[in-house]
Amino acid sequence: MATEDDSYAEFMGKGKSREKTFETEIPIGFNHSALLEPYRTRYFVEDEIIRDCEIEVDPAHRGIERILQGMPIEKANIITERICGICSHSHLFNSVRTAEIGLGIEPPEAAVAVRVLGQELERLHSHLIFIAHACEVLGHETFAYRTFLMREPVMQLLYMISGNRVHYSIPVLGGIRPRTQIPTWKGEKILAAMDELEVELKKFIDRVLSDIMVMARLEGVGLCDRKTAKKYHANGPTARASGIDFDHRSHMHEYEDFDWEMVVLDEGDNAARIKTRALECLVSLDISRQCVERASGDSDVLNRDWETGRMPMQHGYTEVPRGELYHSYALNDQGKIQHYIVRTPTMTNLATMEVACIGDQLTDGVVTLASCDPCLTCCNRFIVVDQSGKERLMTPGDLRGG
Amino acid sequence: MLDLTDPDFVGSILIASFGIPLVSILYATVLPGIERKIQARIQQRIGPGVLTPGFFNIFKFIFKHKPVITSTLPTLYKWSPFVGVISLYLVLVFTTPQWADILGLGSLVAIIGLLKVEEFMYVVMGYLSSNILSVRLPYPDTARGSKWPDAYRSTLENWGSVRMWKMIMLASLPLYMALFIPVAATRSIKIWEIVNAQSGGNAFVFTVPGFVGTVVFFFGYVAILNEYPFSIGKAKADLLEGPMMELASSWRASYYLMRALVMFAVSSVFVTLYFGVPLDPLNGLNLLIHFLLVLIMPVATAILSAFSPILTFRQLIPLSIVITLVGFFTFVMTMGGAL
Repeated sequence: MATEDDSYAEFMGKGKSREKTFETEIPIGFNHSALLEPYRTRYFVEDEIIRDCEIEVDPAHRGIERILQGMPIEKANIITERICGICSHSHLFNSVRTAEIGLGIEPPEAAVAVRVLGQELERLHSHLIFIAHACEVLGHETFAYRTFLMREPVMQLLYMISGNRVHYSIPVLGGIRPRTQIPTWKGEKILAAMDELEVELKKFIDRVLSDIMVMARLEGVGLCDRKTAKKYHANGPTARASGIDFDHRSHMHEYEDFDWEMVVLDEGDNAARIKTRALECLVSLDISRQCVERASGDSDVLNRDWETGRMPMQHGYTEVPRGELYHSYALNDQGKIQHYIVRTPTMTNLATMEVACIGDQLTDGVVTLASCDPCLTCCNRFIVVDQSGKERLMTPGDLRGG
Repeated sequence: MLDLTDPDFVGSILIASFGIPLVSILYATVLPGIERKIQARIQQRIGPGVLTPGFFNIFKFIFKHKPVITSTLPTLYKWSPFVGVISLYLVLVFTTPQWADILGLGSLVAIIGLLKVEEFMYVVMGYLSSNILSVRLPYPDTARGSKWPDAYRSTLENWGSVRMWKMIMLASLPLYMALFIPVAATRSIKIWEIVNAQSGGNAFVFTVPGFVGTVVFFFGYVAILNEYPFSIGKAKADLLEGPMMELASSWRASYYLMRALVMFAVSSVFVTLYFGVPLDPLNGLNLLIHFLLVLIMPVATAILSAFSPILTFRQLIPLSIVITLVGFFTFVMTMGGAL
């Protein structure tokens, strides 16, 4: 039986004939204090150049889908908000709209506008967190701090609308919570704050994107062309930075009446992924203004004319800050959840970055992984506990097993 | 000349060897705080107290519990920062006028040699340290279908050590080039002769080669401090302080002291060579001006660091070549009398 010392010796490559495929492996993680999130990266490097990369995201599994199994739909919706601390609204929004599509519930127009407002403000603050994180990984602490300062007014707006800074709990089946209704006076305040924010944001984005040293670190690094992005199913801003002109908002009925333009860049490098999100911040502000104009007033925000019941498997897609969010579930006769599945955008985006960082300097590789804005705790939705010790391949049947 | 029978000489040597360096060490412990405070204000936050990062941190770590350090040669690893502290202490001693003519130690060759010792300590520490976070990640990669289960695994500290080695070759080269520009102007490697050549208000820094040399020296100063943008050796994003990772309690305190001393000592050498104001224990006004001028480099470093990302070798190599070439041509042209 192998002892701990044996495994240590093997780990260090002692007492075993090893194939020297690569000069060195740099393992970083799990729960390494240098990492912000629990994932493990193995960089295989020659000198400072990454020749291959492997990422594992296992330890963050929380079993949300299992918790949701058999739960009443109203209760389950609010639990989905806890999947993420950054895009909490996105999960709740998608969970609610999935049931609404399946059960044929129509929320009032003002409620849809407030939901979209929540979504766009969330996108804005998420993108600002991303820019701050990217600057921090680059080593530019000043930009990171200033971005967080820039994010603060957005958090205040969300607080003003919902009464919360993290879990806003805006949508409910049939509309929105009445406390999140936007009276005219509040709408005026929000619009004034947005005007101030836009001026500051434009100045700051110009400053970051014109910084020679920052751009020297970003341009031409972490290249991911359109073909690679398509092959690994990159989505959201990560895909749009590689020239893929797809955004779920173009197909969502909630966004039908809004006037906005998709941001698509062709460069496919780390700079493009940051630029895309920076420009999307301005688009989000624009959509948010339109939302406030539609939602302000005392119009009805909740349709109570519905009943839960059997619903066949329903699929819901939304464009969340990081890309495509997929929720799907069915309801039984009592309106209880069956087979809830959540797929977050990080799953494929991080796989794309695993390839994109090859050929980068080691330090740039860390930036490349961060450039897809990974959200790992949300990403990890699946774990197999098998103590038999035997290796086996998972079949599609295993995956459907729930 | 060594005249140990002269009580004045012995007294001045004792002050130069113990008094002034000890005062300088105290002063040096304030510099990290000033640096952090400036960076904090640029970043629109309050920041730590001026005495916290350099002075109180040292005492805080001295009284912390001493853990077992994972290292192949733990004693050498633990004492490495002390070796750096001693070498920097000697830099301060040898730049005083009292040591000008003793055994040729008051020369640039001695100073450069001692600064190299401090730089080399990072390489030594990196090779000796093996932190549990980087060595024994108990995760069965081989059972998880890894494409490369048998690749040689390098510890993070080892990697930091390799980077520090590269930094000695690359980024601190401008510093040594800048140290020799005043030599070209005065045709002497003796510090005291360089200082004397600037007496009567003819500070070298206000000449063309002096100004260019100052710029080159500044880049070298930031590099030897391992500060942004030249901090790849301890790049926090991917390596987490590399060679210093295992230093804890009083050993970490000695590292903080070493870093504070680098800030002071290298800046002090700059003031001595470029302003002609030496660290003279017997001249109070000179000493005061010296201590004030020493602030120039740390303050400028704090501002540059606050506005810089970490540069990788992709940017560092061309940058270092350009700055070194500027220093080299300034040296040659000054030597030839063209500047």
